[in-house]
Amino acid sequence: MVAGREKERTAQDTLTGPPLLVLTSLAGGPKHGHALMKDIEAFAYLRLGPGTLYGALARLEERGLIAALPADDCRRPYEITAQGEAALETSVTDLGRVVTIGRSRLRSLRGERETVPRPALQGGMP
Amino acid sequence: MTAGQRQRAWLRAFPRKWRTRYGDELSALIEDLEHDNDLSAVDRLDLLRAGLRTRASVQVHRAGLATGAAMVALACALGGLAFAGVFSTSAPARSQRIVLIPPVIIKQPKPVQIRVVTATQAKKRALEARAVRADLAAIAAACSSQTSLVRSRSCPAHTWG
Repeated sequence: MVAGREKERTAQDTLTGPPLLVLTSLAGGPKHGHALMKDIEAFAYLRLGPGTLYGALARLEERGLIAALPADDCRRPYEITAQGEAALETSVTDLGRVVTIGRSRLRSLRGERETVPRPALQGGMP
Repeated sequence: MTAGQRQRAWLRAFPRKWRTRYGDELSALIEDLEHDNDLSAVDRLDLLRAGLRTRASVQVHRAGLATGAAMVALACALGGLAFAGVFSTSAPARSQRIVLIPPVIIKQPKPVQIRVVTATQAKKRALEARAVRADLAAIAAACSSQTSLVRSRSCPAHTWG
């Protein structure tokens, strides 16, 4: 039961999608909206729309994972908080486990396909 | 329509409270993207979609609060019912009324006191009917000589009325 709760808690705490990308970008240093968009596009090959980006920023700030810094000409930079670092650590660990297992299973799947002979065709070509 | 007005128009998709907090920043971001010629139609749709989604989440949050308030009210109501149930166990299971039958009617030296049971709930009808039968028997025993008079004049009117 305790292990189940732990798994459930971890699943809820694992960040995915835009929030994960934003936290990853902010782990490299404080940035404002435009800089965040450019950085995410550079390392994830994904372009977050302005609405999606600010939706993620608002949710992360509400959860205390990022904090707003003093604005510079309406362009307010954000920085990752200690809580955000912990959340990013958890998420990256969880996703890393999924990536490792996914790669391993893909390897075995491809190995099986290469070693197991295909069944002979019944009533095949003459 | 100026560029600033266009930016503000896109922000109208978001709730007012959200705009108060993030409106200037998002407006600056849109300005930067327009300056770079980088604001596509997909980005505009993204703004609209994010705004509507934010509005929806606010509505859901409000609905959640309303549901919470309703749950508290329901809990209070159930608590009240439970409280009433506890005290109802010490109260009589049926309502009773004491009726004095004047001696003139039954021709007795003293007035006869009878209990009249009034049905208040359908579930208690059987219990009350049993009580009424007991009352009728008591009356019949008390006025054995005037049984017919009691049944015809007093008991039916007070018992079933």
